[in-house]
Amino acid sequence: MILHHIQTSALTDSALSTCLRYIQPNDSILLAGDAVNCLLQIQWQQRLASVNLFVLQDDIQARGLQPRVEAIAEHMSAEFFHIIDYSDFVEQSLKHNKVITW
Amino acid sequence: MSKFIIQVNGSVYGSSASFRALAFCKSVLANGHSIINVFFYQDGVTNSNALTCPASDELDMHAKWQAFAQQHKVPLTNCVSAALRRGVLSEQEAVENGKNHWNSSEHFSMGGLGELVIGIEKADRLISF
Amino acid sequence: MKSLAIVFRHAPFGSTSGREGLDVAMLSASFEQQVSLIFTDEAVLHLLGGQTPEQAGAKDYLSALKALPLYDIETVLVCSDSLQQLGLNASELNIEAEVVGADMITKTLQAVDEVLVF
Repeated sequence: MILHHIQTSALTDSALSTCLRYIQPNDSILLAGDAVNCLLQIQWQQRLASVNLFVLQDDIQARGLQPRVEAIAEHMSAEFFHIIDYSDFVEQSLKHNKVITW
Repeated sequence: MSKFIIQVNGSVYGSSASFRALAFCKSVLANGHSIINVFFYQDGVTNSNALTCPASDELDMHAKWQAFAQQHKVPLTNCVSAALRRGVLSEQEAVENGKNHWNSSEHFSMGGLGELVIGIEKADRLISF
Repeated sequence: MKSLAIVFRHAPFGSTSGREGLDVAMLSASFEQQVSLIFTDEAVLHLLGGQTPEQAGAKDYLSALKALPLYDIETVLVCSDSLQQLGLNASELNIEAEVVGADMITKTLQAVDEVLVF
């Protein structure tokens, strides 16, 4: 049970696609920094639909994306989509067995 | 209560990784956990540069880390070889290498990669930024 | 003792990720941690023979890869998908390494205590 921590944009870095090659069904992904932007793209929404997903709230708010991300989240499973703060990040890093920062 | 080791690879300016690392560190302590060490590696070593001088309306990550270390007594450690390669020197390295100046501030100590490894061994979690 | 996996995912020479990752790998092994190395994406290019890093302005850290067994780093995994994407064959690899599918790398990432990515 791994928390995969992605900080870079999926358009300029392969971190997210590399992590998806090695992910297991009970793992989760945390999108932080520019990585949150991938949620605007349909192909990433589809690839991430079946993954337990955490998105760092400060990073979507900073980019003015919160309303869009919330609208996108409605099409994704609520069970698998969580907007979190740093305190939740700390908690999730302990709930998972380890954190891999790609 | 859990013990964390934090690795910072993002530079003092030009990447947001160091900013997130500090926010995470603050949250770790606010939630009652502890931080064994914040280990600066790769471009992360530039966070210790005391000559960092951003304009007053800009974020000064060097000052933020220093204030954090001072307030919470959390050790900040630079990988010495990664630092030397990038022109980040403490007084001792400056003397040893025949340089007239140094820039690494006293709140950051210089250590080897062994401190990262020892930290990982002792910690419950390693989180990198 | 902890078990660590060091993942290399960046191409050689364009950045210093590979070199600084290898330093961590060898140091960890000399501190008697159980270290596995994983090469994926363009980082598999580290393993080709006939490279001259100096011509690209890099230190020759690739020769250190040959010394991995001396550090008791015996598990070196190479992602077969990445080799295939770059048109490389297992026979072209310059060091002792196991070419494995994604499932084997997944298993390793799950099994070790901590993972560092360079």
